[in-house]
Amino acid sequence: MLLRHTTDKIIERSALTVNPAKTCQPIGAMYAALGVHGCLPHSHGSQGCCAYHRSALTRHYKEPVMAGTSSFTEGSSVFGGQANLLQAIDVMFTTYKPDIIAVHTTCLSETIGDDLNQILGKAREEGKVPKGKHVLHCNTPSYVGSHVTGYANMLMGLVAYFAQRTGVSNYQVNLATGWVEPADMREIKRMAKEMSANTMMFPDTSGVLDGPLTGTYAMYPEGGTTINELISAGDAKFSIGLGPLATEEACKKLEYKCKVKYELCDLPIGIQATDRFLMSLSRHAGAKIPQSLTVERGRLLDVVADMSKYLYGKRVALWGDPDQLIPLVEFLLACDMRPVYIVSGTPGKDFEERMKELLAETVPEAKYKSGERADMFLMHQWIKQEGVDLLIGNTYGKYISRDDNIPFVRMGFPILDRVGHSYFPTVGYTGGIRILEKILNAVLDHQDREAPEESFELVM
Amino acid sequence: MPEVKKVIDGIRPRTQGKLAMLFVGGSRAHHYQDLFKELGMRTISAGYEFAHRDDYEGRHVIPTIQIDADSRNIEELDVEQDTKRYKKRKDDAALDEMNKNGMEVRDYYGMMKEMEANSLVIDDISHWESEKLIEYFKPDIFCAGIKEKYVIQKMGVPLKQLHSYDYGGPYAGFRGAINFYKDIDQMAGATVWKLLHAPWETQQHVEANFVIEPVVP
Repeated sequence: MLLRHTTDKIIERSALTVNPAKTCQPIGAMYAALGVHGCLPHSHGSQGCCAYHRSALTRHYKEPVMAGTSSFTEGSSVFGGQANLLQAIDVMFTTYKPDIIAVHTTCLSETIGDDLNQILGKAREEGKVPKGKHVLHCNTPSYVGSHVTGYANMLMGLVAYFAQRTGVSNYQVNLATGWVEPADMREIKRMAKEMSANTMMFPDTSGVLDGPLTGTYAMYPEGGTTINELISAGDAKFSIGLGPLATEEACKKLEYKCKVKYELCDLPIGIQATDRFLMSLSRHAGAKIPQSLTVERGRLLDVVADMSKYLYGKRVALWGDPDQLIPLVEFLLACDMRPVYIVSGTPGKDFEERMKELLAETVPEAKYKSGERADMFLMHQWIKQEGVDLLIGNTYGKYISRDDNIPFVRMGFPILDRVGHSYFPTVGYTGGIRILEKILNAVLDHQDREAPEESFELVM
Repeated sequence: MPEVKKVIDGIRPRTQGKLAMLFVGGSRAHHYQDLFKELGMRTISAGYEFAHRDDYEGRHVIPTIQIDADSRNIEELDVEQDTKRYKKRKDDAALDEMNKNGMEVRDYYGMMKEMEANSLVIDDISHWESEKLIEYFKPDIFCAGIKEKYVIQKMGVPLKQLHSYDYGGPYAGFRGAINFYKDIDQMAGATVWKLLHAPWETQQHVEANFVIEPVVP
């Protein structure tokens, strides 16, 4: 009973966050930068920040995650980190030879007020950026937003730096993907290909954070969106942002810079959100949705129908990022489950509105909250008040799962103690089947484990 | 009973007027009709796999059955009026009048007399027949067994197994009735049946493009 002190008595808190349902901005910036081919993320701050972000990503993916750090000392904390960053850029380009260095800030450098534009300008002036190589940056102060904000900021930084408008359309549709797994990015590309839609996706961590074991280590793996692709974003005829929180800023920037109009879609998780994504892509790319995708959709529906008895009425508590939670809740509702408690540490004005829209009539007893105080502690207190049948969220839910003996499905970031999330998609119709498989396994395993001998059944 | 009533009242607004079909043996094609009725649902078709006359018509027909090798089985009968010999002694208006005054003139109300007029009783239904029935009547729930379950569900109609109860139940007694009501509510009302068709199958969604786009390899 590691969380035995959690009680059902909720006290209004104005300052304290206990077990937050989020992490900090730079980790998102680092993840987004890894989705660009030949890119080395760089953390402008103290070494500890960079070490934490790298280890969190590494533990989640079980893959190499390389990044530079400005290694702030007491001195740079007082006088600013310019000298450190200039030297770091020099070392990285001469020793590790990336095509791109993507710098993000940290709380420390933001608090000092380091001006990244100025420092990077100086690096270019001093010839520290070799010809044909690139340094770009984004600001990621962690006292605002969450890891999703950092991801969004890096996407915006990539667009701001690379996208160019020549005036000649390349007829492509840009797909700006929100924070999803490499397998999900691969799956989104596959669906677009299945439709023969002319798309360019960024970022793309497939082929980067799900690399093969070959006996050779490549610092810059095969995958990732290329520089030319990022430049081409400016000549696209349209952009679709998958996951509004993570992609809106980038889409906006692209519209402002290159006049590429955009539409925001939910991440294609579950039946309806995938429907909407395919419809949007079909509309904007002028591509038909092929029978093969309709069949995949039908397959997902078949699983929902066949297993509806075990899904119906199950009370679920979820935590994670709004971009994931919104379509996931919609999917659970399509399966007649009851998402009763939902928290997200990522603040966002749309979250509560969307939840209200989805849940007001279907699950009137639902409680949901986002932002600083929407933490795992609050969710656990809600669970103590009235229990749930299932937990869905990142690894940090395992304490609640164990203490209260609740089936638990790992989804989101980070997943530190299981494997599979980076290889099997949860987006698209096929991904929907995987979500259901995980939910049903958790629920039915629990039933098998807990059933008294006389009601332990071979066929359930 | 008050508890049963409470559950019915909660569920009935969602099930009222829905249609059921019931093909399951051991007198269940009779008995479950009552449970459906309590939910305001109509059983429009029912039958057993190969039942005898008394299974359908009731025990009171037993004395009239002449026992031979085949007589308890359902005979193939095609009954029509004999235009030469049949002579009506009362006209329709007079019969109606007598009926109104409580005089029962006829005593045969069909194979399963508790079912409404125009319902279909079908013995040993074939796959082809059940497919046609579903096509014509679009029931909200179909009851049969595991072999039929996924066939019928592919047509977009939930199938409640009444052999294994879909590993649910029990359905006997008051508490059992409550279990049954809840299961039927869940199945017939499941959201998934409303999502059967992809939006692009029903909407025009590809906008016209007036530019000729290069083919991208």
